Amino acid sequence: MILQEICSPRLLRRVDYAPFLRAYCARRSARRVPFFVEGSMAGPTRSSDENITKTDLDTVMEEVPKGALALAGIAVMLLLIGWFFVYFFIFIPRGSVG
Amino acid sequence: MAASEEDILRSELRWSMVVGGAVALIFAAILYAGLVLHVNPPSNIETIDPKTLHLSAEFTEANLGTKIEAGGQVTTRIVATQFAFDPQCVVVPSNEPVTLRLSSPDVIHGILVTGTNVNTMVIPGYVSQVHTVFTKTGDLLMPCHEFCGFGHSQMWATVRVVPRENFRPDADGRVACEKF
Repeated sequence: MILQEICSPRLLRRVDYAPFLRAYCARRSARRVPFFVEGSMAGPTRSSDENITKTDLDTVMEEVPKGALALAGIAVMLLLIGWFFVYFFIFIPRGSVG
Repeated sequence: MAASEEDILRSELRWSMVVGGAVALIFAAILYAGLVLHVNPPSNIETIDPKTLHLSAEFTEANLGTKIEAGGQVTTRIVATQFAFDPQCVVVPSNEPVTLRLSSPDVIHGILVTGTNVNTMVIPGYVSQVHTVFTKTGDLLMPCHEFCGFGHSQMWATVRVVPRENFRPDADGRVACEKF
């Protein structure tokens, strides 16, 4: 993320970078690695890349919440299974106390 | 089609319902254990002078160990000191309500009885009291579980759970480990 900011066209115009950083940014640009995706939440549009289309972005945005929900669901389910295992097989059989 | 803000809000609402349900389930299990099964943290608040503990009526040496009180209640009194329990072994009957009463004349100790939910701190100046029912017979280890000094690891006692029919007190209503 920091390197993306470093290579932003705005900074490249204004800051006198060290030669190795200019070379790094040039290499990234040559490989068409996207710095900023049009319409993304990273900030206002500053650069675009023809490799990523709006459809690709929509596909990703459809899939990401499902993955997050699946991950969170599995984590919470494992936590609940662990808690109730201890409750029913260890805590309750040990008898009353007070 | 990308997920709209409405879709995201809807999934967040669903997720919060799932998490709320999980929390409610755990709360219900805790309430069931506390109210129906009587599994509660010991909550006795009773003070005693630690400087004269061994001279007080209740925790004098002759009064320590297991005794059947006038009402038939089985009570076990134990003093926790650096670095031993007095007495080192106590006898209790199985499947009968037992009250453990402990106090300390020196520093903070703690006890647990392995395989049971008995677990309490023993704090100088207070009497710790635990009501429980031991369901399995045999010798149960009762270590000090609060670091109390260099001899802490050597501080442990035995709770000997015997069948009710073998639990026969002497004329004073006392039962000692030596008989078993």
